[in-house]
Amino acid sequence: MASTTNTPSYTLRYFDGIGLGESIRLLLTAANVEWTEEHPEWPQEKPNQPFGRLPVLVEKSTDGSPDFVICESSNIERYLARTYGLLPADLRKAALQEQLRDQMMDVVIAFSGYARSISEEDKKARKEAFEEIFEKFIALLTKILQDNGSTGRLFGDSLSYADIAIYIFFKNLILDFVRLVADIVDYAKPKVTSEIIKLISTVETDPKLTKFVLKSGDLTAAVSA
Amino acid sequence: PSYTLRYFNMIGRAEACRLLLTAAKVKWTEEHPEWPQEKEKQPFGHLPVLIEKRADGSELVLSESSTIERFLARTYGFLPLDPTQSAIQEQIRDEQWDVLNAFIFVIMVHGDEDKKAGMDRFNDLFNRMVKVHMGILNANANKKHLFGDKLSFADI
Repeated sequence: MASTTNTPSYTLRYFDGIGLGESIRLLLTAANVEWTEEHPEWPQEKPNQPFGRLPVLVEKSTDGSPDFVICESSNIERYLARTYGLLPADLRKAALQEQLRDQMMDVVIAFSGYARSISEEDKKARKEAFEEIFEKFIALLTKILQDNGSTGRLFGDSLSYADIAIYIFFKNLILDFVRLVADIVDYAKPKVTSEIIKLISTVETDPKLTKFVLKSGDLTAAVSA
Repeated sequence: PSYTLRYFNMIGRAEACRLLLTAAKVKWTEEHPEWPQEKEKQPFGHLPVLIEKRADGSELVLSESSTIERFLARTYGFLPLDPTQSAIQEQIRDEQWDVLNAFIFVIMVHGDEDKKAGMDRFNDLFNRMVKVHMGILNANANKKHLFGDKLSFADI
């Protein structure tokens, strides 16, 4: 549990919420490294960030060299997942996981467009676009889970990057996005298939994550109720 | 292996894939599926899609432009395999698409209020992106590439 002199430690800079930071928190937890979190004053600290946005990951060196700082949530996630074995080194197998995370972001962007829309005309069009891409995504995930033996894992037989990324997608949708669209849970919860519920509970009971994963809420309970 | 890229006949989200396939000097062709008739046949219901056919007859089908780009870039040496070096380049690509997606949002909405809010956000992201990129270019001694001294993923 304690880090060796060769293992780096990390600081995550983000807001105090699930958003685009929670997958990173879970990856750091699964990696079993030392890490802390900073919640910069916002927007005062915006100019102090490399790309003016959060999250930012700082990897503190152990040999006096400058800290390694990276941005962009998916980039940070892939970096940690590759470094700590949650993404396979095989490029093809990794690509099959990464495309799910990227597709998830397309669904989130569609939701964001819907949540941001102002005119009635746009709201209607964006709601339809979101629902279409969301339902297709559910069907795709369910099929992948079935093809992997309905074990509650998307790939292989141990916790993967894709499992974490998809778990966080549903955590945001069910536990947080109601502040953006009031009836989103009424719409989305009935569509969550039993295979996906099993993925959620498999992630929440994984020994690598149990000490941390429920701090942001119990998603298994929320989708099963 | 040889490749088939499925996309529309435009730059859009596939041009970096085309440039990477070209720079990799592999055999590749392009298909322009009838749209939206072919939508349901695609793994995620959208394009681009990359099909890799290997010598043993097996196929890999990938979706998502950024995943396709990274897969080609890593396989053919345009992204370093070292995660630290790679992450520095990948964040530039990810940031650039945040900016482009913000602009695409403006194009697609109809209400005036939506357009104005969208443009403000795009302008903010775009101006910051230009500043960051100029900083990286100026910091690289040869000033012709973003990193190192030959064509890289970030350059493309």
